[in-house]
Amino acid sequence: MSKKKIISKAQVLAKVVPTKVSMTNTNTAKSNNTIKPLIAKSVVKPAVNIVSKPDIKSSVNKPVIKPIIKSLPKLINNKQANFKDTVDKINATPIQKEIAVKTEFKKKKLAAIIKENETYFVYLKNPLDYRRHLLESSRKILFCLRSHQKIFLIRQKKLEEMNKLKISVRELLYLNKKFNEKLPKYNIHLLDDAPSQDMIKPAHIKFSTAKKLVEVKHEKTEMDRLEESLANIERKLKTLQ
Amino acid sequence: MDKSLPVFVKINDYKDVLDVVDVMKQKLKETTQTLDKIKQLKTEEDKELQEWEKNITEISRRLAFIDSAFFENE
Repeated sequence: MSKKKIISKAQVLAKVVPTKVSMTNTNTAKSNNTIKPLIAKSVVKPAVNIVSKPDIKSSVNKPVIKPIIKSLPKLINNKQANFKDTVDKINATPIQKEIAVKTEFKKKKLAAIIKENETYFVYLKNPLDYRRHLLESSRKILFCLRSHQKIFLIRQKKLEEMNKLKISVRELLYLNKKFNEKLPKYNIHLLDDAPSQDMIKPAHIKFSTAKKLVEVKHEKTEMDRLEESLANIERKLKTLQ
Repeated sequence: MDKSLPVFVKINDYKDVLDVVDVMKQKLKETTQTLDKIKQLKTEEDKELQEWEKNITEISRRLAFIDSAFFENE
């Protein structure tokens, strides 16, 4: 009490003109303008509208500082309406969803308490520990982002390599075709003493279906062509057996 | 029908065939190398994904701890 009085007296003696204070929601500030500079000195801006537990003895002497918490409950209420839907939509694990829902429930409860009694303080046992945990989490998040970037680059490289592979396979196919062309063309049926009707038939079919193939050619995809050549090879293999 | 009849190839064509086979061998080697590279990249990707998962689990754990600490006084 004496300290406060001394300061007040000193202020009065020095004729201190009250300056504008950043904290507006103070009862004492409203009632007595001369204490304003004193409040400004002792104000600690709350980071998340939660400040450390006040010392009861000192709070008797010092003016009560109310953090700006009016906006918090309103904000929480607005968000709560669509929160569950949002959580369901998020692509998260069930545990993460559960944590999110639990936290939201706790926030709801806290908001209700804050509504009832605007001055609410939470005592944190080991603030350094929490700070350390938060910093570690931030670090890990940055690691994740770095991993994401790395994966992105790896995938790009992989795509490039796959394109190379595709080109190589195409070239191999072409070479295989060339190789087959170089080999002597002979008709198995001519070598055969008694050619069967089944073996001759495909030649006719080939000719008759050629026109049809030309018509449908524009609709064929790469996959169709591959399927066709595969079927052709299988057919040839069957004839060899 | 005897399908194991001898096949004769012209000497010029035979040389061409040998050349083609050589090129094919080279191409096959290249293809194998590319495949190995892709495999290696896949392993790297898997490793990064594992690291990612580990980090995410760690973050979840820490967040749960902070969450419980902040709301334990309720």
